[in-house]
Amino acid sequence: MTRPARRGRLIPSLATLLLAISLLLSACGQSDSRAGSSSTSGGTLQIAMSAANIPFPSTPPNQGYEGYRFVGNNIYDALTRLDLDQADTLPTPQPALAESWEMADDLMTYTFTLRQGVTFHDGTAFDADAVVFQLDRLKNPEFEFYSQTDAATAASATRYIDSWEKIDDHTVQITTTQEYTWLQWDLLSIYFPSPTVVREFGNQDYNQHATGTGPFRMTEYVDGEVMELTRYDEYWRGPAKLDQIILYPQPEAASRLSMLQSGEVNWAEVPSPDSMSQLEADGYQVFLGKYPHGIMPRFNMFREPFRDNLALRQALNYALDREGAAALMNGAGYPAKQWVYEGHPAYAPDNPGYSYDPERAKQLLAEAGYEPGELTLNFGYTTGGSGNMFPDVMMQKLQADFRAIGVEVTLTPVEWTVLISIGLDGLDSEQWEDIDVLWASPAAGMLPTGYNSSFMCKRPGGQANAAGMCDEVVDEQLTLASQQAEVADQNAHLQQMMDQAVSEAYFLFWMHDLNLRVMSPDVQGYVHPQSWWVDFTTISVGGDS
Amino acid sequence: MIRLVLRRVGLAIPILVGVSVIVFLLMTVVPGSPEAGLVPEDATPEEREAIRDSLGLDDPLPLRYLEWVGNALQGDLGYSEQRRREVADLLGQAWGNTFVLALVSAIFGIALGLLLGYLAGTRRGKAVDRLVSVLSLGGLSVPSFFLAIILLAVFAGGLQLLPSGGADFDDPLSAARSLVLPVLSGSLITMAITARVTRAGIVDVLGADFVETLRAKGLSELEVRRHVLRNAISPVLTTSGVQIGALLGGSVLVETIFRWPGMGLLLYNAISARDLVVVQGATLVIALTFVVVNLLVDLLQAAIDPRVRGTMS
Repeated sequence: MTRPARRGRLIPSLATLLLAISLLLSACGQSDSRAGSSSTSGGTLQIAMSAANIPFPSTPPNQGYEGYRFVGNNIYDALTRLDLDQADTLPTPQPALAESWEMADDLMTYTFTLRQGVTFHDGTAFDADAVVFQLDRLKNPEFEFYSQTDAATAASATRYIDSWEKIDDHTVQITTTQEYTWLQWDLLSIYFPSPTVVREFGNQDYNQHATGTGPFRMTEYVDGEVMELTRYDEYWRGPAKLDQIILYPQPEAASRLSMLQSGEVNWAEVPSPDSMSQLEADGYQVFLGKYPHGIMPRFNMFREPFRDNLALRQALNYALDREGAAALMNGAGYPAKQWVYEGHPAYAPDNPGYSYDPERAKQLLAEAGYEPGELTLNFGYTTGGSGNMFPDVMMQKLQADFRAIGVEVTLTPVEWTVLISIGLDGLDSEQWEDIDVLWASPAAGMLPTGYNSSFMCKRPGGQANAAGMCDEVVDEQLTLASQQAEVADQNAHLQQMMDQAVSEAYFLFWMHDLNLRVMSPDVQGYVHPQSWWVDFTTISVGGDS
Repeated sequence: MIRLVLRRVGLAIPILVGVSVIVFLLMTVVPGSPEAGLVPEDATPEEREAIRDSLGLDDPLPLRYLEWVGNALQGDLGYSEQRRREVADLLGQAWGNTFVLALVSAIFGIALGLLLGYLAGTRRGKAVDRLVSVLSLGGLSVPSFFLAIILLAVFAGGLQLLPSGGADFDDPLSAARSLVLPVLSGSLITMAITARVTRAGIVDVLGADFVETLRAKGLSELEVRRHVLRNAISPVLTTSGVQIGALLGGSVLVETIFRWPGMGLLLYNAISARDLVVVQGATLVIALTFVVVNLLVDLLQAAIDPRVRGTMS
């Protein structure tokens, strides 16, 4: 599995050189013809996504959180939703299709009062039957419209749901498998399609007719090419400002930038960081902001050299020149002290984390039992994929940092699909056991339920932690956090969990992403939230609204 | 001629079987699980197993292959759970888009290559010849993706003269505009190879005895050149067949950079996602395309060149 190491100086990429050409020419030939300027009220927002394809509009969609961001949350609603119209705090679940809910004293029985007067895009009413219908689709293999693939994709969100029951047309009761106070977080991503449409077209053909209750209805979907979403005027929160959203897939950063500069789109995901200053000078809006996403590689704790060797794990954390890495990406990321960023509810306030201290790193390496030059690590990382920041330049920097303390790194690039497969199989599987450190790009702390697969010794389904991390304190604190009725108590336990994970250096706490996104000047009302998701209802294009 | 067609069809069968077997085996040994894109990282072994079972991934390999072949022979190329679409629909859409791009690229590349090769061959050693040599060498040396990004940066991002991508067939003008940059990028190699082969053929034929005979018989230079071109065209047709086949297979890089939803992009995404049914279907269609295009080229050669016709009969 080991592949040849790639070594060398940090050289500017080809894309950087080409970017320079593009920016130079665009500075000369700046045009006023930006996309989306519309004489109608809210205009048309055209987006170049970083996904390789249009996320299919199933429940849930594919293409990871990009699918939820652009497609899922616009076509559908869930019982709860995040307050994405503010950037000050980490968004938390708010009432959505559920107007309110109550958790019984057993911390297992939830009663949801559904919002009345909500209609699907096909005009049919949303009610308790629609909730039961969808939960049956995802959890009941005997149900006529049970969807094997939707059930598998949504498994993380439905894992703790044990039973569900219609109390009356506007009330539903859901019971969890154990004491569990985070159900409202899980429910964020359980979308509700129109039962009428599912019955009419069946699961297999549903995507071409996707119908939800969300702020936009799907009016065109050409797989691999484009999706057009049109404002749903009967939306229960009031109609969105935009007339339309048009989505294009474009995994190439240079191509996304060209689409923006040529006026074909007015929103581009993650352009090359080198382009930021010139784009700002040209009048584009460049957004950067803290949000729960980082690069936190995992040590293979199933075996040596990392198992039972805290000093080595700490040495490597002290060896990372995080500021240097941030500079290489032109400030599109910033150094991580912990798995979550400072100010996050799970951030352990009294734990300083790891600074850049090569001398301390060398000392710890010696304490760990390794002479300089004695240790070579096999580092598996992905070369691309949405939400992975800038792996090539980061890995070259890491290789140089580790070499400076006498640790060599063999770089093993893998495709994104392979990285996910490794996560499923675990680093103790025969195929992947040669990997010492594994790239990880978690949505670190977006949902408290997201800690499970990275932190817990046994994942919720019973499988071992993919990297072999196993810590009683971490497990206990995380479990306790999910069983506290009060949010403050939940956070206190999460902070203790984080404190333990940082002290034990279970991860390479490396970089936080700043969610680089660029838009043309005529996009208004956008809020850059501390989330992977976005509220599109506040946005407009052009000057009329 | 009918015998030739039948013989080629007969030869095509083992080629297609061979390609499908090799691709099938390759996709089973490359790392990465097909269910990886369909289940979360904390999926239980049971959830993984259920998906693998629904995809038929745990059946014995020969059985899986024979089942796929049996269905394919009945026109059923399967259903992609990862795209939630019939594979035949995906291939039809992608092949149509690639066909348009390949056709225009082939016409442009071959026509320009013929012209340049002819000019270079008939002006051997002169400035035009040297210029064409440099151009064709450049065409062979510059990777198409590099040219694609340069063109994109200059004409779309910079000067904003042309769209940066997409297959926009709403009206003839937008279709033509969206084709310009992908065609320029994709046809570069075709142009370069055609120019070199044409030049070499013309230089070769111009030195043949029959050319002197034609001139001695008093034919005009134009008529002589027509005879020369006709005699030099055969190798050009052969290489063109290969080039057209390659273009119809779709260029992953050009299609990705220009967001052209064709065969190359479809295949690349399918390989990345380990979407086995799409990979199988797409490679079969691409192999079939090569076979058909080469057959057509052979028939065209036979129609143009009596010597080839003689060989075939």
